[in-house]
Amino acid sequence: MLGLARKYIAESPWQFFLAVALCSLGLASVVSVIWLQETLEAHAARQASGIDLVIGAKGSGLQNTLAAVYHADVPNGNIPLAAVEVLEKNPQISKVNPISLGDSVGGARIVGARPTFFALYDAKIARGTIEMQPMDAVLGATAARRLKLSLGDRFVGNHGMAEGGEAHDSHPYSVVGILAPTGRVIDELVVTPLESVWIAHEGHSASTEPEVTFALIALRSPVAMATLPRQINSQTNLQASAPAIESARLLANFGWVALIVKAFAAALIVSAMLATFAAISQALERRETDLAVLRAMGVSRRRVAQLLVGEALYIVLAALVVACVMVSAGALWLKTAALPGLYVDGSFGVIVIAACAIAACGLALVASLPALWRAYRIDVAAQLSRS
Amino acid sequence: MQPNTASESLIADIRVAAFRYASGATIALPDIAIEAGEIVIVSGRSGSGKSTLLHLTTGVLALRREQGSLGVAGVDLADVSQKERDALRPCIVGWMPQRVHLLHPLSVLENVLVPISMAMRTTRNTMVDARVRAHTLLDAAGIATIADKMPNAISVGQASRACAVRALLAKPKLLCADEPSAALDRENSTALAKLIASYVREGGTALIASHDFAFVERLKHESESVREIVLKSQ
Repeated sequence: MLGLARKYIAESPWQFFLAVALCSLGLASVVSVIWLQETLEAHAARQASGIDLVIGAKGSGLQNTLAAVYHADVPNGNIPLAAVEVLEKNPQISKVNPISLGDSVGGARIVGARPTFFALYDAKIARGTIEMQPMDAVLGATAARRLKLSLGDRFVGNHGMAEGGEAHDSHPYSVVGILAPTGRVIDELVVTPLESVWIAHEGHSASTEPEVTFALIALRSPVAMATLPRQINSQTNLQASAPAIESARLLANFGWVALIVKAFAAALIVSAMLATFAAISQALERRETDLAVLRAMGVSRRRVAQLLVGEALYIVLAALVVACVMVSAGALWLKTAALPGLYVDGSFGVIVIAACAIAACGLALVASLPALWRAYRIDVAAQLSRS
Repeated sequence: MQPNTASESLIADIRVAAFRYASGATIALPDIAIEAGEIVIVSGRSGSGKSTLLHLTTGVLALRREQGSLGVAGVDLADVSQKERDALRPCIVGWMPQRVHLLHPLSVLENVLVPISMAMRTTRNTMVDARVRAHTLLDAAGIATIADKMPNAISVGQASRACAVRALLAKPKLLCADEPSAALDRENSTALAKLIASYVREGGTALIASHDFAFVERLKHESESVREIVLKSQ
């Protein structure tokens, strides 16, 4: 029966292509929305992995999180290194990574950090060394490619996070290492010892004691998460914020956008179903006599149903393939051109596609149900008595 | 009332006293017993029940026990399910409907093979045998040369003969044909009569609704076992 279904499709290819186009658009939208939402959430969670708290200057916790974890905002200010050293002695804290921000090169942020900063991102050296002296720099994989810098090259940082700031001409950096790609934000950064930032900013700061911008904290237990931020925020001049909570708050603010996009995708899925239904119904209209002949020749109702469902299946499975190609192309563009640092979980994509394949088969069945009912009730005698 | 299903030579035993349509109208049919090897021609005016008789015999219409009895090749069709009635076709009853219709995306040969390839469980061997028989029947019907043509490339007469071959492919015990010669010219009508007569000579039986006297005469010319029944107007 599937062979006959294929022959019927070949008889009117344009109708088939139209139904496939509408159906694939709906499926691609749904797959994209689900995949993109999950990918962005996974990407956000991955960037914050190993960072339970961000300690920075008083101000917006969300701004501190965006600046320290995602390197997507400017910090509220600096904090004394001495305050970070106090935190290091806190028994509730297992790891402290102080970082200093403030400069950039060609749009890549220069981050002053200790060597333990690399371990936080599981970063491995690809070329050169990870051992740094003041004014040495280790580049993330994406930053090195984008800045076209290699080992031994020298560059100067600009003041501020954006291009065009005042250049620190008298304090050039030397590239001593380039990291292997990690899929995390460190790929986009230029890492240098904390001392480099202090040297580059000598005379710029009002404070005489050494400062850092943030301390990235890992806690010993979940219990500490409940008490420590409140304790720091109320008893010190520091601002403690939890990336997990701030990210969730940010996503919650945009929840209505996701809801609208999902509703739009659902509407497209309904239109895909209607397109398939229309294609099958039109096929039935054209072939009512054919189906009656099949029944007259002894073909059972079940097999006639297989013919109709088969046609619907061909439409939605072809649409699924087209949708997968569209989504894969979109994901590739996102990963290579739009958001190079985006972490893409391939296994999740497979799960989404498998789920959509099952959903597509269900869609085919639902879309062909009205036609099946009509075919089931076809009056063979009347249909074949007409001249 | 039970049909006679004991006699081996009795192919159809029709005793429908009052068949009731879905519309509520009723029709009475005469008792008809068809012996193996017979060609029974049913004629009568429009509305006399010719098509209804064929639809009941092919199992397309359901018959309730209180309306009468109908036995085909030993199978009692009163009060049986649609599925059981469908099982009559194509091996027990071959049906040539009034409407000449072939499936457009299939070639003539593929159309002829439909009762075997789509209605039955087949093996490679049964399909090989079916193809051989299809070619033999197409040849006997004088349309062997159009086997690979598509339905829109053949004449109505050729399509009509292809429909007859399709109904005969599974070697049914009873061929039911509804106005098979309608719209056929003399040549095609003769070829069809010869095909049906040949099938009956090989052990088949035919129940044919027709008011085409020329066609009936041709059948009589080809076979000595033609019997005519005239249905009264209701």
